[in-house]
Amino acid sequence: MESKWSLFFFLLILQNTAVVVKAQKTSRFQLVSEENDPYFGTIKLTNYTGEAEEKAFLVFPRPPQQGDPAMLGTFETKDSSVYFRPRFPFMQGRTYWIKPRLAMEEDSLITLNIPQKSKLKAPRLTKIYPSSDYWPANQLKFYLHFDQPMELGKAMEYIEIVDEQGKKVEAPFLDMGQELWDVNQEQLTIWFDPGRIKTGLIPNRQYGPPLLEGRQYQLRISRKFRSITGLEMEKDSIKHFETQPNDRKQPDPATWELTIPRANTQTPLMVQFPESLDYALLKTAIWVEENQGNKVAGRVTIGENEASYYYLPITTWKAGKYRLHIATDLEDLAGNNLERSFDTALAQEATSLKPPQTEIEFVIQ
Amino acid sequence: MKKSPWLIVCFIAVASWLPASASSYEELTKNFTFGKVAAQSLSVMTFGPEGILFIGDAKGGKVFALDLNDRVQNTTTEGFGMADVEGKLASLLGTDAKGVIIHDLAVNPISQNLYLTVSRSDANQLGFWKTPNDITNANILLRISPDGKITEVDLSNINHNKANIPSVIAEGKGTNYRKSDNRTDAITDIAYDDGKLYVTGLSNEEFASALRVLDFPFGKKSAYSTIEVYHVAHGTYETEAPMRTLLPYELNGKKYILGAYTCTPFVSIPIEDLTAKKHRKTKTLGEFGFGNIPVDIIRYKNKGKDYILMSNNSKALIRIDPNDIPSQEALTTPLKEGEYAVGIPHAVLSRVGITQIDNLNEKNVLVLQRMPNGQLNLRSYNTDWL
Repeated sequence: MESKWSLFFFLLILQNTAVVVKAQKTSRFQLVSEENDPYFGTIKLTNYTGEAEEKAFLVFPRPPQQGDPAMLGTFETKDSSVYFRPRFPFMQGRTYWIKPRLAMEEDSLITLNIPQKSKLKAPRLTKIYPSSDYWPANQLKFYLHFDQPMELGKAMEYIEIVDEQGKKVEAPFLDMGQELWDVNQEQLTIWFDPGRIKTGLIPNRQYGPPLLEGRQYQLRISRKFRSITGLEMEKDSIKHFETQPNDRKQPDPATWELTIPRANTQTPLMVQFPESLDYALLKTAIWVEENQGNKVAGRVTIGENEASYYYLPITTWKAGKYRLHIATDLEDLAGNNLERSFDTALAQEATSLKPPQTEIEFVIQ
Repeated sequence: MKKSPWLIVCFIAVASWLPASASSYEELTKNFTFGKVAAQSLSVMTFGPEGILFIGDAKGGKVFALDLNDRVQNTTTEGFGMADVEGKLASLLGTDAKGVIIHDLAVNPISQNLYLTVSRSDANQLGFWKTPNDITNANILLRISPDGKITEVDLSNINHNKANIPSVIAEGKGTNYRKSDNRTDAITDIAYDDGKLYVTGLSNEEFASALRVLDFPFGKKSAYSTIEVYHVAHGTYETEAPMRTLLPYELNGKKYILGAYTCTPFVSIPIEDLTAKKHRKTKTLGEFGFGNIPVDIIRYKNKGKDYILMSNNSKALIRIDPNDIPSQEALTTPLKEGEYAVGIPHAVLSRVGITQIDNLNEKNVLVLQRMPNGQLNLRSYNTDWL
């Protein structure tokens, strides 16, 4: 009898122990790793019944030592789960240490491994601007758009220009220790060496311009260009382009053609340029104002070869007078802006004549 | 009626708790509005005596003035120490000690709270010719209270004002000898004195090096001069190199900017010379040696006497007696064979590895110092021993 009860109690204890062990193994802490989840990238604590969520747990990038502050971040409670979003994202392949503040788990330290993303996609080069296949020989810069954040500091190793004989153009680019990426690290600006483009400067006289007129070139971006997650691209990217004569003429809004929409429609205003203009500047340097000077709220689309511009208002056009406003720093492909030609010497510039046209008036009927 | 001693105690307690110089503070912040501090780079910092934090944003070409709501007077003359600052910042930002960079340090003169601008970035890239701002933009402002607690200052909704820096050097139009974009040096240092904010850095002008004077509160006017320095170690006048650090300082009733350049001329220029759009030559007082980037200049008192203290990225602290400045002739000739440091007398102090410095209180100078064991520590040095 007695032994039977003992066995029962033993089993009961064993069972309880087992449950406790299991509870610790399938931790109540987990990384939210589903990208569509609004809490993606947070640590989630389930079944939380404590009071203020800030008191739920602390996170450290190493086993906490005396004086280590916990990671910065914000806590949020939803449906009895507490989410911790770190101030800076968790780093892949690292282990983080969680110190619960709950009485039941007070002394334990839980580790959480941040996986290397398993379903990582190879990065892709999605766009090269200028998109035209004809570049002036004094092309100033180009833009590479990737579909994800890319590794810093290696661009010069992976980008080259090759002529029709397959010969690599030597040092065509401005080699900057600091690369010009956008904040997301997805868009890179590469400058041709302006010292080689500007006539008369020492690099120009010594090495000549990087591109010559009337030639066929390939801009090659090596597949070895990696994303910040360390993955290479699937293939090399090649853009063929042909060089046209040097462009030393400033863009002139007087030569632009406007296709004016009708009142009470939401048709975009279309502006056709006689040449391709700089993609990045086009997006911000032109806008539409009402007669009173208020900006018309709208969205900008850039047309084929960056030779046209569309302004789509968010509401329908009203009849009246409008102005197309153009910032003077709008550039063409060779870096000529409304105020000066890229290759103008300073002395010449001082004598340059009339102020640039920065407005085009039009009427919507 | 006899006053109760308790009433007096209470009065003293309240008086010492009240924010300092409340009226001028109200005046200075009346144009401030709540909102996000839309800075693209927290490049350099300085405090005004009223506890207003000024931040120079080189990438954005702007300066910001922040009301940190941190104005409880702390009158202690105690020092401050924190070992392994990088380890603690790494813990806060979720990375390794080599994964954080401190860009600048400033002490609120009222509360003695410390402020650091920081980035989560690769400190292995730092070098003698690679400053924090060359590597990346600081994007986080941290406060360290005297008890060692570190918190982030939320810049998403804070009472502030801002001003554009006139004629700032354009981005993407060239690189410096450190192979970073010239725009990185658009603002190399800022200093506040008596309603004026002085901002050094590169302009878009033919002579790029500029010293701007902005009225504060912002909005009234700003002026800028381009400045030229006789560079003794290079044996030439230079107009392209920005002043790296500056200090407004009064000598015999006249105000000057004292400043230092890379490789390392120490110069002065009367503030009255900094009028709109003029090109000016600074007076080179001393040459402290090539191969160095100066980081900070402050003034402090040792047993009642004023001294000037300069920290560097590749030299120990340099101490200058301001009494030696008026009598110092301008240096206008190159170094002679075998010469290294010339001009104004200066003492090189026996502590190495100190980059950022600021006044902590009247008895202590706060420093950020790389210790012999490799840790980066915040420490204070008693001014009687400096």
